[in-house]
Amino acid sequence: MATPVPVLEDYRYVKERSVDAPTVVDSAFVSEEVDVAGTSVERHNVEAPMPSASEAQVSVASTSEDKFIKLFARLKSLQRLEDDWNSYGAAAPNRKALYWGHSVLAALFRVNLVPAAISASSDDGVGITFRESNRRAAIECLNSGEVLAVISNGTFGPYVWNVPTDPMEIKRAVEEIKSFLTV
Amino acid sequence: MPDIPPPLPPRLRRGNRQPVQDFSPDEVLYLRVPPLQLDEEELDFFPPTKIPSPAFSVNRGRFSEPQDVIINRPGYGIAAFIVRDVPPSIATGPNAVYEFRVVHEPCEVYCNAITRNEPCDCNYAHSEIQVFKDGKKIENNRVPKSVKPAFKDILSKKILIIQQPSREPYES
Repeated sequence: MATPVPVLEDYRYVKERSVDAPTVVDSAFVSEEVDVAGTSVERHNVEAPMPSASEAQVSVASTSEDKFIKLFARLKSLQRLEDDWNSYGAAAPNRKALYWGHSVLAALFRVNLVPAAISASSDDGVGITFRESNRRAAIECLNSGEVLAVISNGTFGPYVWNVPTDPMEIKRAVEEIKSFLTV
Repeated sequence: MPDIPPPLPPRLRRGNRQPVQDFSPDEVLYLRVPPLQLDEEELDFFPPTKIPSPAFSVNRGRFSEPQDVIINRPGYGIAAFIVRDVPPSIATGPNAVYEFRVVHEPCEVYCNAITRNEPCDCNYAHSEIQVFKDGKKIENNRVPKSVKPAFKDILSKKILIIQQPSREPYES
């Protein structure tokens, strides 16, 4: 039998994190989520949150700003998808996935790391993909509220870790991905 | 009145053929690429986050043509990989090894024609990338969430888009 590909347990990113860390969500968001529990239709009417004033003050090159304007619009357009958008049974991104997808995108904007693609995830949620020569990374913000990150290159990985849903942790994960991609 | 989908081409109809669990490592497997949204850029790679997590369906190249996977699927593109691109297994710990196998399953769950030894019109090329733990098949919702991104990352390095999807609304 071939040697299994290791995924967890043996990487510094994983060791630094608690997979069981409590989920921290903005209180306003939680109350909204409770209001729409059990209604699948409302998901498509939800506006993704926009960058805050402090986010908008971050200084980056205008070309990057243009790219991020498109990326935030791209994230918003994922709201229009319907369930089974890929014909393989994937659910459309819900409010939780869009919320954390926005949080990730805001963190990327702050460190000026432009992803290669933003799309819905086949595992129900939002998927953000990075490519830098043979280095790959992805962040998936799932409808369950979980955020997963994966990195790999031609010689090691993939390594997967669970990113606690806290803005500081997301910022940290984004910085680590940037560091991995730009070494 | 709803459109009646055209019948499968003869090469795809199972008839009374039995499954063949003999896969060459170089056999090509095909899957669909969903249509692009209006503001979505065309990419020269299949984003790993879009690759379905196992178990998922593919068509066997041995018994089908690439375009067979998008019959009745306007706007969809086609992606391909070969059997040996499927990672044999992924471990999340010493006692948690998840194996991946390509399994030829021409009949849908609701069709018992094979077990009744009767002919049917199911897609003979239909197969699945399935997941096994301790030798037993497990369903998608039992596969750990950490395994799925790893599987998709590995396959994304091998999978090729051989026909780009169209943009919504579908280009003719």
